[in-house]
Order: sequence, then structure tokens, then C-alpha cells
Amino acid sequence: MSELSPDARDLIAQAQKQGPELLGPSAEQRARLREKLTPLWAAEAPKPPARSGLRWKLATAVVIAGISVWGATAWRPEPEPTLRAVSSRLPPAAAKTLTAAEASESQSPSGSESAPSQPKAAAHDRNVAYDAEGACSSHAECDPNAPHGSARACPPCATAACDPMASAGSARACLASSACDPNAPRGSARACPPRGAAASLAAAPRKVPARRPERAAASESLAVASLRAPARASMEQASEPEKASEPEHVARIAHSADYGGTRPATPRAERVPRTAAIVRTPERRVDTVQDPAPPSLDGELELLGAAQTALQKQRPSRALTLLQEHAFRFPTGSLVEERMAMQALALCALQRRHAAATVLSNLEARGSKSQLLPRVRSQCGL
Amino acid sequence: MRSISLVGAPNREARAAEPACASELRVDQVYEAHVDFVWRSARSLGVREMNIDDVVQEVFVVVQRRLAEFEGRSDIKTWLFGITRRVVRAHVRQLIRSRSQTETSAELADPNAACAESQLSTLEGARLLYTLLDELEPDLREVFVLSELEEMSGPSIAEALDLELSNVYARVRRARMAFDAALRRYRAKQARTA
Repeated sequence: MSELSPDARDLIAQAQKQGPELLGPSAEQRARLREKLTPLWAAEAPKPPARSGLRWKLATAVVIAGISVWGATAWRPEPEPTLRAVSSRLPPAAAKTLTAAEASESQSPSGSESAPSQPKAAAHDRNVAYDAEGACSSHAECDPNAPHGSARACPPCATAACDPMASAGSARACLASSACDPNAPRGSARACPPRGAAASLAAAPRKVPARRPERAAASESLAVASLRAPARASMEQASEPEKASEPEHVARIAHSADYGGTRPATPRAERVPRTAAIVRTPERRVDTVQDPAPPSLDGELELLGAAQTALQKQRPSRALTLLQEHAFRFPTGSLVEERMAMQALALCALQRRHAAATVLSNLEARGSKSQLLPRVRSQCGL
Repeated sequence: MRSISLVGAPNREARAAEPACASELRVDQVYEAHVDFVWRSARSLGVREMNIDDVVQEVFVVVQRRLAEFEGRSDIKTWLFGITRRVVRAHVRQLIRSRSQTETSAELADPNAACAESQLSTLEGARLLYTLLDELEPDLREVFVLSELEEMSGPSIAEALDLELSNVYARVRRARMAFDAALRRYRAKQARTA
């Protein structure tokens, strides 16, 4: 580090010896200051540094106890939406199917469900409700010949009259969705479930998982790959006619799922129904993406107005600062051409003609037909 | 709590009773021990004599308000200089706002009415020192005051100014060069006048 020159060191030493100002206030100044400060210190008494008294401890205990009591009585977690509540927000066809699924859940013994380890209480969970519907919709995945209780065994049918152990095609065999007959009368054993139910319910839970995109995409691809072709075909066929009419209420359901904030920490397998993955397409995800707010014209006008005022007051540096702020905040604003014209004017005022000419050429390169161009040229003499 | 030092620069401070820890500090004790340091720092940072009382008073009002927050993790002089520096900056800003730019510039550049440019060659001692300090940029002036006049160490300066140590050394080097250059200009003018 460079040292001070000897001359400078001598000067400082001399000043510290000679100059009373460097040593501090005189006794008179010191007393005068003290007189001024004493009432100020008294008026602004310092806060107690330590709260260690018995009263403080007692007050703290009372406050903590009050918060605990209030937390135990007043605060309740928001109740989870039941299957019935979800069905009330669905189209009538979907609600009907959902009600049937709920009835079958309530009738069937817990041991014969497709997910035996799932708690009964969680069956009314929003996600599990979709799972339940998803399971109903993916009957084609199950194997009617699989042993009862195995992983691939068919779930119990809503009719409760079929026998999962019966051979396929027999009168008591459970019906797979893919084997339903679209022409069969509604309510008959071979009638297909309403299309709206499958489409809306399959589409709704796609907004529920708040996971990282790559992980969601990975699980999505895995889920899709695990589905068999007939099931995929039937689901796409079921959801296709509804695409035009569904987005509004699908978006509403997705919104309530996204912002409900009451989604419990369920295992991953429960959160991602396999059937939901089929319709989780990028086009549909766009439904709930909110457009960014348009830039504020008021803010632009305020900045440019201030810059104009600064220019009129012969303060071009201040104007340039404001214009730079405008360029930072509104790089693609509505008044970019006006900003550039004012920049050129400010640069001209600062005798920076070359920079002003550059700004003007940039303005022309934008294809501007602004009335400001000839005015700026005449004022700058460019 | 760590013990702190209330002792200022050697042979400069009026020493007061030194409490063992920061929680025992009282503002009047701090005032007695460090009013010279605060006064000197404010003066060196560019406060004129006509305003020095107000600035020092404001510093000790802030000290009284914030003393409970001082935990003694740093030297109290470092802490006091931080407060003084902020108060001085606010004071300068207030001057700039309340007066016209020309008046403020004139006052800041000309600390004493008698110290006009024509009379610069006759300055000596403290007045010359303040005049030369006025030629430094504010950032350089702060590190120069702390390193050369207050003889604080690099880490203490870094703590007082909230800077990296390397930045402190760089600024001290630049401040010394700027001060030497200002002194050389003064000497040259003095030689021409003589």
C-alpha cells in the first residue's frame, strides 16, 4: 500500500498539534451540548433492556396459554371436500356416475377394494375420489380372471350382482368399461357410463399435484406406458366430444384444486391416478395459466412526464436518468418511441451529438413514423 | 457478553468509567468518553463549524435511542462512527434540499468565509487539512479520516463502513494518492504566490 508523503504526514501532525478543531469541542462547547442533550435524553427514555421480572414471565405465560386455547378452539382445518361436494360442481351426467361410485364404495367391504391399504376415511378425499372414479374408468386394466384380492383383480362392480371370480363372458362376470355396449339402454348391465363423467373426472385431477414439471412428466409417461391400448382408446373416445364444452368447469375444478390449500399429504401413488395422466396434455394445462398484467401506461406516462419537465427545466442529465429508468421498467412499453426521441433531445442538450445521432438512427430503424423525428432533427441540427 | 472498550485514540479521549459490558452502558457515559471522537469525525467528514453542534447533538440522540441494540460485538468507536456517518450524510442531503445547488456547493467547497481560493496559500494547520479533505470524494474521505486521522485498523474500518477488507485497502491507497496530489497542488500554488 502506498504511503502518505512525508509532507502530508507533517501537515497532519502539525494540524493535530495546532488545530483545536481536531482535538474536539472546547469545554464550553461540551457543556453547552450536554445541556441541550440532557432534556432530549430524558424525553426519549430508553426501553427496558431485559424483561426478566416476574411480571414479564407471568404475562408471557398468559399470552402463550391464550394462544394455545384459541388455537385449540377457534382454528379448525378446512374440511376436505367430500365426494358429494365434488359431484355438486360437476355436470349432471358426471355427478350421476360419481354418485353411483360413492354408493358402490359404501356398499362394498373394505377388503375387496382395489387399494386395500387405503384408509376408509380417505375415500372421501378429493384426490381419492378421483382415484376411485379413475379406478372405475380403468376397469379394462384389471384382469377378471385374476384371483380375488390380488393387485390385478377387478374392483367390485356397482351392481354388486356380478362375480369377479366368474369367467369372462359369463352372466355374472364383472363388466369392463371397454366391454360396455354404447347401444345398450341406459341402466342396463351393459350400458356404458356417461361420457361426461369420465372426461371431466379424468381431467380434473391433472391440476392437483403441485410437483416439479419434469417429475410430473416422468410419472405421466410411465402411467401412459402402463395403460393398455384398448383402455387408452376408450378413454380418448370418451373425452373427445367433451373437450369443446368442458374447459370452463374443468378450469374451475382445477382452480379449486390448486388454490384450495387443503390437500392432505397423501402418498404419491394416490395423488396421480393413471387415467388422469391420459388427458394431461399441454394444451389443457394452458387453461389455468394467468396472463401477466399488461404494463402500466400510467407508470410510463409518469416517468416520461417527469423527464419532459426536466428537459424543460434545462436538466438533461436528470431527464436521461428518468428515461433510463423508463427503459429499465418498460423495455417494450407503449411509449418507446417517445422515450427514444426524448433521449435524443437530452443527449443533444448535453452536447453528445454522436450518441444522439445513434439514438435517432435506432429510432428510424424501428420504422417509426413519429412526428417527433423531424422535431428532434431540427432541434438537434442533425 | 463480551467486554468492550470505551477508550478512544491514545491521549485524545476524555476517559470515563468503563463498564464491563454493553448492557451497562449509559448514554451519558458514552457522551463523556466519545464526544471528542464524534465531534472530530463529523468535522472531518465535512460538517462546518456552524452546524457541528446540531450534528453532534443528533448523533447522541440516535445513540441514546439505539444504545440498547449495541451488543458490544464491535468496538464502540466503530459503531459510533457508523451513526455519525449516516447523520452527516443526512445533514448534507438536507442542506442540498433546503438551499439552492449553488449555495450548497459554495458552502461545501468553501468551509470558512475567509478561506477563498485566493487565500488558500495562507492556510495552515487544521484549516488547510480540512480544505484538502474537501477535495477528496466522500468515500475516500471517510477511509482517509479513519485510517490517517483516527489511526484505525483495516478490519475496524471495514466494519465501520461495511466494506470488504480488500476494498478498504484499495480506497485507502486511492485516498492517500488523492490527498498527496491535493497537497502538491497547494504547494505549487503557494510557490507561485510567493
